[in-house]
Amino acid sequence: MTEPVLRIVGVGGAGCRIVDRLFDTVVHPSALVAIDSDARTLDECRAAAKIQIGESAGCGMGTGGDPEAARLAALEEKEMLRALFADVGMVVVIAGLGGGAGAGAAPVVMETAREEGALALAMATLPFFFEGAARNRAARAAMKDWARHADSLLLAPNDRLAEFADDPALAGAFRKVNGILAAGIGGIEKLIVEPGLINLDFADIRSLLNRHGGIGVFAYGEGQGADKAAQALRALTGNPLLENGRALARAKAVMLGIVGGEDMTLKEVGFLAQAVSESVGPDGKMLVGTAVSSDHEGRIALTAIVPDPAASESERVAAVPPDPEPAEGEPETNAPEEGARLPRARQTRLKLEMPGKGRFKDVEPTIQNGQDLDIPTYIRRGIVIGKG
Amino acid sequence: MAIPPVVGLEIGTSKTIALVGELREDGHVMIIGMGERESAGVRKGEIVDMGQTQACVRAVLEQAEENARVHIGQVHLAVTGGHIQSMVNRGTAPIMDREHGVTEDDMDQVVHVAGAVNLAQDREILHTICQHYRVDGQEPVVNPEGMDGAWLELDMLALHGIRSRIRNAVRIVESLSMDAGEVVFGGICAALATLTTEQKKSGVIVVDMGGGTTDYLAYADGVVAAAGAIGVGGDHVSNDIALAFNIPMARAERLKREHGSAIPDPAQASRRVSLPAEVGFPSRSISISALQTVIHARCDELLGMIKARLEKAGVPSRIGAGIVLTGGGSRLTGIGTLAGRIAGLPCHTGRPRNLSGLTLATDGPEYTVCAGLIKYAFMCLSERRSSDAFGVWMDRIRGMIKRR
Repeated sequence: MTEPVLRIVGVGGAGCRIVDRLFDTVVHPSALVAIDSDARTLDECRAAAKIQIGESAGCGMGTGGDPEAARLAALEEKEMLRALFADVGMVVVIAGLGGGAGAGAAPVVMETAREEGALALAMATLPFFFEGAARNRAARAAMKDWARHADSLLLAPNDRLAEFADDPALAGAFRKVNGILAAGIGGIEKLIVEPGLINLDFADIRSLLNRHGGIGVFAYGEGQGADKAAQALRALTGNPLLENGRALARAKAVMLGIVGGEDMTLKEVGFLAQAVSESVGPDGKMLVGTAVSSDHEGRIALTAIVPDPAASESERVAAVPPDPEPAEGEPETNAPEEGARLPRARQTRLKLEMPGKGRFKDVEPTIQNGQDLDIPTYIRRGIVIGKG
Repeated sequence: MAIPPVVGLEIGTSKTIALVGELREDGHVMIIGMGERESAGVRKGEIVDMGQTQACVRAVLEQAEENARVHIGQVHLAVTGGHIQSMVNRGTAPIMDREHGVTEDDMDQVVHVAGAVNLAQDREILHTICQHYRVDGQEPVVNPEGMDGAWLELDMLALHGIRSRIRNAVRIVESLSMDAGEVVFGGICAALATLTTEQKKSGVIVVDMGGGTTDYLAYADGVVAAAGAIGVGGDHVSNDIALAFNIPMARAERLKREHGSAIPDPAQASRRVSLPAEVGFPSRSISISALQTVIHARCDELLGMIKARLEKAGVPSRIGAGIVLTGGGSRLTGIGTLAGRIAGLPCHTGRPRNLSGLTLATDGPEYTVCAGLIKYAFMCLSERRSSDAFGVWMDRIRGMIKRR
């Protein structure tokens, strides 16, 4: 397969640096896209496609942290984005919240992806505490906007990552943080792209997250050698993004991706699945996917995605109603092949536009606690009304 | 007669109303004229089409001029909209004269400090309302004058909204070559019109259910504890009905008035109401229980939301005088019972008090806001003339949008 089924788009300085790191780890480097207003950042990034936004207005010097300028600049490149996202099933958007491009341009990218029928998975890093209150406030505001535009949103607070990247040097800390993120994203990509023994796809991630609020965290752990499974597990549960396992214990559901080489044994997979399901709360749900990759000989990589109900509750402004639970025991009708994925994505999109708003459809919605109050209450509460 | 008549204008979601009021010698307010028309270009309390709204306001004011036989030069405005929020801001100032305790100057100073609320750039303060003073962090007092201490604190409730939306109403009035006078939050108007002093003292929640927005204001411990607006009103109820049964908005509106209830009525559960055929719509019948279920869901959610907001703002659950419902939405059958049930408080419908004149205007809950607005305007006038009881009250609720 030559054409990637997904695109990984880094937006802004932080996003581009992570994409650059991903060049080394992803299966299809041709899937990487970098978008920024700063020409130098783009030069340093090894993405397959690079889009410089705001060339005319900003003289290639950045947006100066102004989300509105970034948004307008991104809109100018919309046709270009459309062409990139045509016939792609999923778009992963990576950016740092708090800056101009992340807050302004990234939502445009997600919007375009969804218009093209792709699902948009957003991954955001939250600024370090020391970057100041203004930047943190901007990040919170941007997060709400993101949650509205993305199908699912995964968060990575830099502060938590920094505990892990115990590098005293500032540049080193940033580099390590980006490395952790790149590894995690690479893990997710592998799960989706590599032919799996037990398959997982983006629809699974999306329905898992949306059933629990739409916002989640993700973590990555790796192990090598004889006890590679135990090592990988320790690295995963000790990952600061999972708050040293506390996020797992809190979680109502978890999705675990296991990538290993040809030498990975059934016993190892069983051990990992068992261990993770034990660390999740007693009534937690668990989804496991495995993939075999030739470059993972002698290694096991774990990726966990955990919905974070706390973050969702406070931050999500859900224009997207959660997917209805699939009927228990119903066999999946769509075979998990690449070809089958695309039409399914399109269909999901249609469903999102269903709730009627009648006379309020053209005015600014009244949103509270993540609910659009203009949509009739009986629809949102799922009360069935006899039409007769 | 020293005080000229005043004009109050409410550009509501469903109706635009203007009332002309006159202050009698004995302090009684008399409504001497009114204009009224279905609104155009307004959604959820906010103006979305300036041109349409302007034409509508012009017609309403002309009607009021004719009706009251006065020339209207200045118009006071009631504003609402889901963007209006409240917050409590605490200010602190040193007590300068340690020998005589708190002076008027100290109080002015702390009012100034507490009124300096930090807002997002696109917002502006609509009102600041003094809640209570504290001296050196002790028990709250209403009037600290003469008290001993080092520091004076003041809790101030600030009502704020998005500047451009508030200004839209002002702009419309000015485009008709009239002066915009006071700009007042609808919830304050509703409270002024319907509440008695005893109710305010023992604690009360006033809820004004309009077409597109619902304003609320709560008194607890003798002060305004919280206020705000939610962009959901009677229009939403009708819209829900229209969508649920796939009928036009006008029919839904009529169904709501004639057969609607906020609490499903078991006696009517099996009944159906038939709709005669209209152009483009065949005749059909609708189950009353389904209709009332749709209405109940919406009202239950709205009232629950207000309750949650008041709880969040720290309004105590023990409110002596219960809930006063007003506005056109309070005409819905069963809404009072539902509100009472949700809040666990007695609830009744409020109408404008201490008003005489045109019966229509003094009787209907739709006119509460406008009537309150006229009272507010007279209070502002008399404050400028003397510092009597009105003046003291005005000291506590300040309109911040200055006349030009």
